[in-house]
Amino acid sequence: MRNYLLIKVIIGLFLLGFISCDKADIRGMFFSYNYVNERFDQSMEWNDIHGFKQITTTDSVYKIYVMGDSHMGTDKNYNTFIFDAIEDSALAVVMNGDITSGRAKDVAIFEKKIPPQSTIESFLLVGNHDLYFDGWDEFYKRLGSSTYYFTVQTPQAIDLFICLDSGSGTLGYKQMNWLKNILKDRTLYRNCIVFTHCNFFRSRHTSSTNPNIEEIRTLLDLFLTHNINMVITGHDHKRSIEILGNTTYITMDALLDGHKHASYLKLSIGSSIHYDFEQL
Amino acid sequence: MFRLLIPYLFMLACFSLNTQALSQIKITAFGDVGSNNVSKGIYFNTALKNDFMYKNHSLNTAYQFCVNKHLSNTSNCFVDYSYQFAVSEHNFIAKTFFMYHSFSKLAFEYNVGLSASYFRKHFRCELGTHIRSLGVSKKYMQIHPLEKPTYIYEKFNMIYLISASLKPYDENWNIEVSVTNMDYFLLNQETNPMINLKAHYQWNKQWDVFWELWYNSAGSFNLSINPFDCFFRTGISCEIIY
Repeated sequence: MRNYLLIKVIIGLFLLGFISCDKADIRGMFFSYNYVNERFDQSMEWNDIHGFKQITTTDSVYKIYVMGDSHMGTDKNYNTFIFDAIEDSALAVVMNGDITSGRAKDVAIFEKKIPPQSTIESFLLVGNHDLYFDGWDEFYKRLGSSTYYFTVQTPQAIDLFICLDSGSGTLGYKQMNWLKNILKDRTLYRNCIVFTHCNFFRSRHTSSTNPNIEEIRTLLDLFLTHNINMVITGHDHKRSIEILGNTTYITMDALLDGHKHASYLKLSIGSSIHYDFEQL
Repeated sequence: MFRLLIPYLFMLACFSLNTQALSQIKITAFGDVGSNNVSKGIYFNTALKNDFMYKNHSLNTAYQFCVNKHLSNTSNCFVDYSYQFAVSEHNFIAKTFFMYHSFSKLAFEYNVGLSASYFRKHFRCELGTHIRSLGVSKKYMQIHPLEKPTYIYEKFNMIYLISASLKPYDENWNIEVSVTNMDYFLLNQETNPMINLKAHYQWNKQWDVFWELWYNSAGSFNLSINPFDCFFRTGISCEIIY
């Protein structure tokens, strides 16, 4: 009888969490508001209208600032990140997913905080938190595509940057095929860096999901085949650096306000790529 | 090609050893057909598994060949040793294993691990841990000379299985449902569980046929679930007792 009551209480609390949890959208564990293939189609529609960005610089070595997991809400660390990037004359900032909580009001507030394009270029990717509370609709409407590439042309060479949507823990077969097609032209570029939200390797024990191992194997093969220089992820909130062949896999710390090890990543890109974490 | 035959030769060696020294052999052949987010349409896997049993000891070897995956044709194999014992009428199996995946011409993966199972008439569970190592192949090193080989390790990932059956496990037919992050040749991360519905029919003491339906999602622990893999497996086992 006691056990029966305990089970009832557990189920009750679980169902309560299902409808009332303010931080996480528990229903996503069982059904999603949308699927990665649908989001990919929408991203491609957006790309068809807006095109892919090509940045030109006269510098031989340029800087790109990267952050992930700001989970806004609050914006203290985000403001520091943007301020530092502009002060350092970085060419662009990349925000690697979990930018917001997924709530419509947070996405709307964030949209107003994106620095103007005339000051610095911004590239945004969706993370799993951005998808909570049906967040993709708001993200797409206000911030646009989450699967795209951009290039940077220097006097010496052109570098390729690929941004992928892994908010659902998988690229999906459409995005995977798109990635394969993009990488067919890899030899036209000097450096190639891939950004995506979900980290690949379990460097520590957490409840956050990595892509399934079969997908990781496929991506590792693809990245080794095409000599990708760097794969930059977030999601785990704790930095780790792994190297396989000539590819460096970086998982960034969270930029989240109040996070004990909050930091962002500075990339210095020329004939080689240097990286540095800036602790906040 | 010879490399692909090595596991078969190893299994053959185990088999000939077994005919002289061991008391029970079980040979299982099975095939998978399915589709996932990284397959080029439908994929096919075939596998052969040998179980060598002597009293409470068991040595298993298995080899799998995968066709039409996103990657080029690949092969996997594993060896495990298990020991069955009872504590106060409760049955346990302790297992240690080695698994190798040649998933690409440029990279490979191997896993070492151990687990413990507990089973009752209608229920079994397994809990264990493994270390995953990913490395680049000799071919990659020839194309891209590196100062030293590079590896990525995932240390002490958790493996688990929770399973319930309609009838007691020793019945000649049964239906079983499981949640797990492991299959014969696959160890998913603990946050990527798979669901398995299995039926089997044993029409005599020697022959057993089985069917399995597997579903594997992505992102459930990201709270943004998407389908990843669904496949059907069927196979047949033959048990020979000396």
